[in-house]
Amino acid sequence: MTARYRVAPWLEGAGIYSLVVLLVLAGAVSSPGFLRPESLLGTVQNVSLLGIAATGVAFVTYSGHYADLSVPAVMALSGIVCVSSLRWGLVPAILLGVAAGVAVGIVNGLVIGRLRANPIIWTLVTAAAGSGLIRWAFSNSQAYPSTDTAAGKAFVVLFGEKVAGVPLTVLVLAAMIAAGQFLLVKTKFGARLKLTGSSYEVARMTGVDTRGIVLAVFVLSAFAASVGGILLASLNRLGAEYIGKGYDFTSVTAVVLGGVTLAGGRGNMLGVLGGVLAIGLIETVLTLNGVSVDWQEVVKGVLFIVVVGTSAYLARRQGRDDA
Amino acid sequence: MRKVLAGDAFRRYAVYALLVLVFCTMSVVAPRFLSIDNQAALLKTASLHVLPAIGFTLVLALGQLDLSFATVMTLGGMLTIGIEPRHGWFGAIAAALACGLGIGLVNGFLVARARVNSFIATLGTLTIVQGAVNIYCGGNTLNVDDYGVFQWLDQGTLIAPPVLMAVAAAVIFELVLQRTRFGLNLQLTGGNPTAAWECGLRTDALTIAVFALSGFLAAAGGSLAAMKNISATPKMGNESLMLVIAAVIVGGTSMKGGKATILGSVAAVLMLCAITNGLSLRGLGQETMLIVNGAVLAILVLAQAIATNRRELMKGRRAELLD
Repeated sequence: MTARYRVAPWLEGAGIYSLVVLLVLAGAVSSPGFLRPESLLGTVQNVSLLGIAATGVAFVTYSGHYADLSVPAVMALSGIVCVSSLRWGLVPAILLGVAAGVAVGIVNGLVIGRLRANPIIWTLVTAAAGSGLIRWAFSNSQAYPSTDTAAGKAFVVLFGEKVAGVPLTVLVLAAMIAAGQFLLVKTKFGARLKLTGSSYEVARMTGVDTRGIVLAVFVLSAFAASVGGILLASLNRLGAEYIGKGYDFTSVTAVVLGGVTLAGGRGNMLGVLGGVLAIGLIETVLTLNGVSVDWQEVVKGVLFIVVVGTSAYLARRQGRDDA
Repeated sequence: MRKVLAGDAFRRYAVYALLVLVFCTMSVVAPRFLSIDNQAALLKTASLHVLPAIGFTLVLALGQLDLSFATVMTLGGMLTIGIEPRHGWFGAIAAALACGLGIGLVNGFLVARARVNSFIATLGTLTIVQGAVNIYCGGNTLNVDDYGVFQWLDQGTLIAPPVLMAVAAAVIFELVLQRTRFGLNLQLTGGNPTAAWECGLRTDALTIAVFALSGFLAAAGGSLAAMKNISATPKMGNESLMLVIAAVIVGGTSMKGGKATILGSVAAVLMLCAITNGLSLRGLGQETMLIVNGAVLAILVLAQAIATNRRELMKGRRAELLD
């Protein structure tokens, strides 16, 4: 079994791709048009926002801090801040939106990194306080982009924008996955992060600035959520307190499905991409076969437990206890 | 040594102090807060969250998480209302409780026997159960015409049946947790699973039993809430999700397992409900409640984190040299 233990690092997340291939085959069988590039791109675009948020959450999970449950609040915050500052132009609005989201990430990172507060409960707290603050600051109303201005017009078409036939959101997702993979595998930060995630105390004793690492992962998570939130606001053509709902648990689902284990320090971004694609493909294939949304939820839940359970079981069989 | 213990005492008793503080503040802020009618309403609302909070505390005492409790509550409520017209309240409640118990058993088996991380297993069952609930009710709110049970539950002022049930359940489970072999074994398993196993405890059976209890209590809570409202909505459990998680942690139960207090959880539920109740009496909106709730939670979590963090830092050093 030791031979199988030595899988190349980039292959570690490959398990999920067998499911992705199976789902693509199932899709090709159920509908002849499924394999056309535009319909495949459509499938990816459906989950691109989930993917963008998941790249951020993957860092948190990878660092051994389970999940960032403030993702929905951060998405809503950056979305509404961006929409309501469109009067200063598109780029400043996007920057402001991202800055607002990252500010939440900094708070999360400082509290969890320095005081070792439990990440699940602390991010729940910032999520509650965050959505309260949004409602208070925008007096319980939604913000609509004004389509009279150039920036407003540009903003509402942002989500549907295509570059050389590829949706902008898919490009953003690809860029974030690539950047995330580079950060994880090729940089000093990635190596330190891996050590922190695998064994926090060892990392601390070795002289890794674990507080800085934890701060960084929550900032990265908030950054990714902000980008996703701005695009989501563009899709909905409004900014509101509720728009990120559900992204907290679905992004963890995608991350864990992609082979980043909750124990920390294992998996990679390509795996996360696989997890996101698998979720998108499940939805598309089931819809093609006339399965209702509610049954899709049931199937997704069963698949999630089976896939993660099996991979944990296989890992244990190989002597790696990272369930 | 006294200082080392201070953190622990803080974790245990802070919530009671805060409960008193919240009651004092609210009676000043909202004059009608202390009236018998309002106290009765407050107790009745709070009592609906108590049963799931007990279940969540037990699971946390074991060092595990049960995220599925909120959707199991919804399921319990749905089944109670859905089956009542054909089989009467007794049959309906029995069916709801049996389903809750069944889902709890599945969770328990997944965690104990299949060794799936409890975060993942219950995230999966959460998705499955929510899908099943939506299929069952077709996304609609279910109602019944039988007002008898509602009147029975709503009778009395301060000592209404749901309040009595909540108090009785809390006292019984606190005694079970702190005074019986089962409860102490549970806390030992949560604190140090390996040690518990080596002492000869049947940790797997314990885990399954605790998850089954959690499912049962969640379904019972949902059933009670549905009977009190004589209707069930597809998202009814979600109101409890954040409140219960926050209350249990704030109440003094450690997320690492092994240290649990059910009375603390109940006090925290009452405290969080009192904040919402008092602020709404004052005529303040949802956003203020979210902010105040978030702020109170933030202060408490921060204070706990600081206390534990200090204790961690002092471990193995001379406490008198710090400060």
